[in-house]
Amino acid sequence: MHNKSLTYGNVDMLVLKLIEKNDMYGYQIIEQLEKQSNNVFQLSAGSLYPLLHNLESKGYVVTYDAPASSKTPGKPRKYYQITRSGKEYLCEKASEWEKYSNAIDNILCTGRRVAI
Amino acid sequence: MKQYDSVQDYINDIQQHIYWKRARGIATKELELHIQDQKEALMEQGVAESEALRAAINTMGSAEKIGNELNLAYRPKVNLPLIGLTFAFIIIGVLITCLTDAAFPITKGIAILVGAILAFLLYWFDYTVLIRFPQIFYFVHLLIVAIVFAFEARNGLSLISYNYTTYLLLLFPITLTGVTLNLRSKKETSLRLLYFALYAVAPLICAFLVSSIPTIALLIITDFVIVIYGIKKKWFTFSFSSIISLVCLALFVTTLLYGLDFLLNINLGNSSRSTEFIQSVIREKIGQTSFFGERSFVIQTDIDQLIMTDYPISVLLLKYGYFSVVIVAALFGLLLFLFNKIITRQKTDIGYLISLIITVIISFQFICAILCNLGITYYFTMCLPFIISGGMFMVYNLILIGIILSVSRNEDIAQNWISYKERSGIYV
Repeated sequence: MHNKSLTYGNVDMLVLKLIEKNDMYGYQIIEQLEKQSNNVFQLSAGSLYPLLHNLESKGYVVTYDAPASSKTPGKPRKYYQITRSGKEYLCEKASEWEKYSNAIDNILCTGRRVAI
Repeated sequence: MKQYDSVQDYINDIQQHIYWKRARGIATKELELHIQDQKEALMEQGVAESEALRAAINTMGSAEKIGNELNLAYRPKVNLPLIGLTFAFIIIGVLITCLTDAAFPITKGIAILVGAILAFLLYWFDYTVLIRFPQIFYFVHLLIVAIVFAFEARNGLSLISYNYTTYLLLLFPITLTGVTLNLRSKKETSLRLLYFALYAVAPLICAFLVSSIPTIALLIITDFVIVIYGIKKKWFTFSFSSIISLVCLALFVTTLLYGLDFLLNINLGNSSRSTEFIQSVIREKIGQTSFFGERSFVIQTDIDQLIMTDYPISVLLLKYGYFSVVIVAALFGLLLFLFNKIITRQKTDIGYLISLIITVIISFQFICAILCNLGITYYFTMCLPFIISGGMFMVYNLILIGIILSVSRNEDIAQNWISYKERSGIYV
């Protein structure tokens, strides 16, 4: 079972990364997050929408209404689009994550070599 | 988890935990659509509709948990720096009055209290109603101005100053903002500017009748700001017929004003002549003072007494030097910085325009007050906002602060809220 503490604090990075590729609405974000992580990350709507609102109030995303792309054409959805400051924030978070994950990899690899 | 048979029951449960009522509909709208999408996805997999709905709601999670999360995310903003700075300005005004040895008038204390109460009430005001009922606001405003003007003029046009009429006129830029935004719905784009000019002319004529040059100047400046913004947003376009109409309107108004001046003997700027001499005295005194002032201001003549009561910044400068004026200017710079932050955060035209107009009004007052107290101009005599203000001026400026605090409070939801109302059919 996935340890949620590993993603805590990095969910905003994952969400921003998804909408960097394509503007998405809330349901699509949850769907894509599950699909692209092979069901490792399963974000609830109750966690996603407050997060999106916070990203919007910080200026990292902007929103607009547009018809949903799929099943119910004509019913508008609120799409989220990353902004320039959102991209800068995403770069920052991604670089922090890379440092963090490299550090963990180094320790784990060193530990394996010692064990062998 | 509690079972729900309808989406609305679930949403109502969530909304119970969102304290800010204005944000409830906006906060939960996306959840409703999300449940719909989830239900349709399950129905595509062959699940029956009622089962799919129940399952979709269950995947959302506990209504209480979601409601609490949304409650934290949707909070009205209180602009504490702006409130703190305004309060600091008022305290500085009280200190300056004491430092310049003038007695602090009780009426000013009452004005501060009344202004603070009005600002507090306006903070809760839904300023977007200005777009909803712009003509009503405009004509009621004009009617109140006419009634107050008639009341103040009953002793004769040239005898008194039109305090209350002037301050009511100075609120017209806010009313005109609502009118301008409503003009966007007019199909004849080339005539929108003419319609705006027609709405803008009436307050200008009133300002002429009360013989207030600063009011006329402020109304013209704010009208220009609105027009430039409208041109930038492509609400106003020009055509040959609209330009001809505007020229005709300008000629008509100019003729009307000359006629009124001749018939009613208004003598625009007449009151400014009396301040010209006082300011020449101020210029002479300032020219003789050092950068850090003379530490005292001796009242030797009636003019000195007048300067003490009506030009306290000049007295401050004479006593404590240019340094004191630089401090005051720096504090106003800080105020403008806070206003600018509010302006740049606005996501709606109405929020942007209202906060911009209020910034222009307060900046104009400040610049005129400093120039007047330095003896540079006698036509644009204005009080320094919050610091050196008479009672009505204090109330007026606190009203502006209340409005801009309301704009700041709703900035996160205003864009969604206006769209939500339009979708709900509230705006006709």
